[in-house]
Amino acid sequence: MGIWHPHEEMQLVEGCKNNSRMAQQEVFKKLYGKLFGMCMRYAESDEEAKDILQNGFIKVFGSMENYKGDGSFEGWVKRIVINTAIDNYRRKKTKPVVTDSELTDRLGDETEYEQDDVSIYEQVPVKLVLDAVQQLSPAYQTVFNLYVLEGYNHNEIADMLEISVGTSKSNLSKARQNLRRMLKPVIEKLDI
Amino acid sequence: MKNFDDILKTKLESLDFAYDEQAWMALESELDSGVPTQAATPSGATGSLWAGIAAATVLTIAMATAPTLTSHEEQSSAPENGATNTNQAAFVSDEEPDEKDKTAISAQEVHVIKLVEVDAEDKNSDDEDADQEIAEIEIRSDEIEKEFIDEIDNDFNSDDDLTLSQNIDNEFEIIAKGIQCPGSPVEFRVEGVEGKFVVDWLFNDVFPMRGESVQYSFDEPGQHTVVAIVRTEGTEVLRMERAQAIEIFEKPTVDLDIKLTPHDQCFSQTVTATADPSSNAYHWSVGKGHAQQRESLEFSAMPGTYEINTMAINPEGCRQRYTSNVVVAPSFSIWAPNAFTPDGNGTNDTWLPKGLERPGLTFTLEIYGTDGSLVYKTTEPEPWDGSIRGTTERPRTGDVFTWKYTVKDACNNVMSDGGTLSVIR
Repeated sequence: MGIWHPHEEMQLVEGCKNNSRMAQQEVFKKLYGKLFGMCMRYAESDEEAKDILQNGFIKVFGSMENYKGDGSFEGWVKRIVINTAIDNYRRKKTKPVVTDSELTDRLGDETEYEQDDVSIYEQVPVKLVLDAVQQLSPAYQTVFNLYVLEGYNHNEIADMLEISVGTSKSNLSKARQNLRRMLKPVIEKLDI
Repeated sequence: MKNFDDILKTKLESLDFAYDEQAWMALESELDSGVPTQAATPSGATGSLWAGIAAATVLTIAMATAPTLTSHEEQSSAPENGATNTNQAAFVSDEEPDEKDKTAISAQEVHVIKLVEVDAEDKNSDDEDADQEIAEIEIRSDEIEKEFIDEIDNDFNSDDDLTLSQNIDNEFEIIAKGIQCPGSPVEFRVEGVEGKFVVDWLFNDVFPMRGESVQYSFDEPGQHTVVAIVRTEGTEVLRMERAQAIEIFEKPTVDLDIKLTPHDQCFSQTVTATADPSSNAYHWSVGKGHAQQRESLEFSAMPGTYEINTMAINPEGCRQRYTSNVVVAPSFSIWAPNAFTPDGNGTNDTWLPKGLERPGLTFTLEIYGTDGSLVYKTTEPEPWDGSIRGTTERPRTGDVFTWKYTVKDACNNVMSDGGTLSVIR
């Protein structure tokens, strides 16, 4: 599902390799909407998302020679931006994270949620879903993104984030619970 | 039936934001800054060149267990005695100092700490080495008890009104962090002192600063001395002092060579810039683009003036920037006569801009009459014999035609030109 014609893509890649600002801007412009959306999922704020995206593109344009043309260019750019988001998370990780003990305590409540009719969540506007994802603690948020959105498995995530597989699983589970907990009142308010 | 993950996934994947020109401008200015900043340095493979260089920047510090400041000053004023009582550690490289005599070092008194080199490979593979610009080596003094006691004795004999503990086990360490280059700040701090304390610093004997950690940059390459004097406070007041020598490396010297190579079939010329020695790493940029991290720079340049910036980084991590201006003339030119005499007398009967016939060029040439109508058009280098629209109609003396051509060369550069053409007799 390339967003460029193969020929156009080749020209843009070539341009970016030669550090052509025009080619770089074209690439940035075309990919901005989706990739900024992606960065928002990994960030707590617009500002943080902007930083991730900017640093990601600096890496992209700085490492063009590594793009060998195997696989889509868009996919390659996306992976670099995801890696940048992970780097960003690692930096954040060094800041102390306060565990919400209440949330942790509810770990056993998963079954309760599993019985829900999840189709009600279809009604929640995407903006509110994003808000909820942004409110997750960075560790939960990152695992949730990598697993659910990017499709990595727990082994891969454990490698990427330098955590154990168990932590990855439990973070995902807690992320889901917290999202439900945050979205529940929204649904009630929406009166669905 | 969709599960919870799928629902959220579908929603979040639909996120799409409107393009933000400001975001591009911010990115562009980062890209324009050219030199990788800490944030801008790509991690992974691209950053490896820089990481490698930074990793090779080994802070080599020779340490001497320090006599007191007082004795140091005496030493300075009496250099002849240096061989027996110096506190200036004067050699720092891995090589054996061959100027031992000149630098007057006594092997018994100076401990050159063999530094552990930061593993370059390891550092390259580390994605997180955002701090790669900084090579940090912690230097710990290898204390020899006897000398330490001497030091205390010296201190004890000084004029300061100090109570010294006889049982000092908190020997302190000077930690240096930074790049050992002229003008680059190096951070110094002490470690290993318990409780409250103040540190006075002396750089090359003249620059006093106070603070647990200070930054200082040395302007000149070569040996510089750093002295830290620590005074602890509390029940036991203790004065300790240590002197170190730090080597500041030379900035890179570079031999730049910029060559222009004209092209047979292109207006542009190839600009090739190389720099020696190859032991340096180079970062090139032309104007605001064309940044390349290679030993040489090569690009195709249309006529104009170009500013070539070269950043050289030597193995010690010291940098020097050079700017060269290059004027590129066209490889060849196309020249059009402004008059011809289509009277069949054998001279100047036809007209075609000179140079259009050059192989590799594709062009369109159009000639218009005074009324603005097209009278001749060709894409082949066939001279115009003056016939109007291919008929037998001929131009008259005094007629003025206008012409223009657009030409593309073998490198896909496009140029156009235009002018007038008079019919004379």
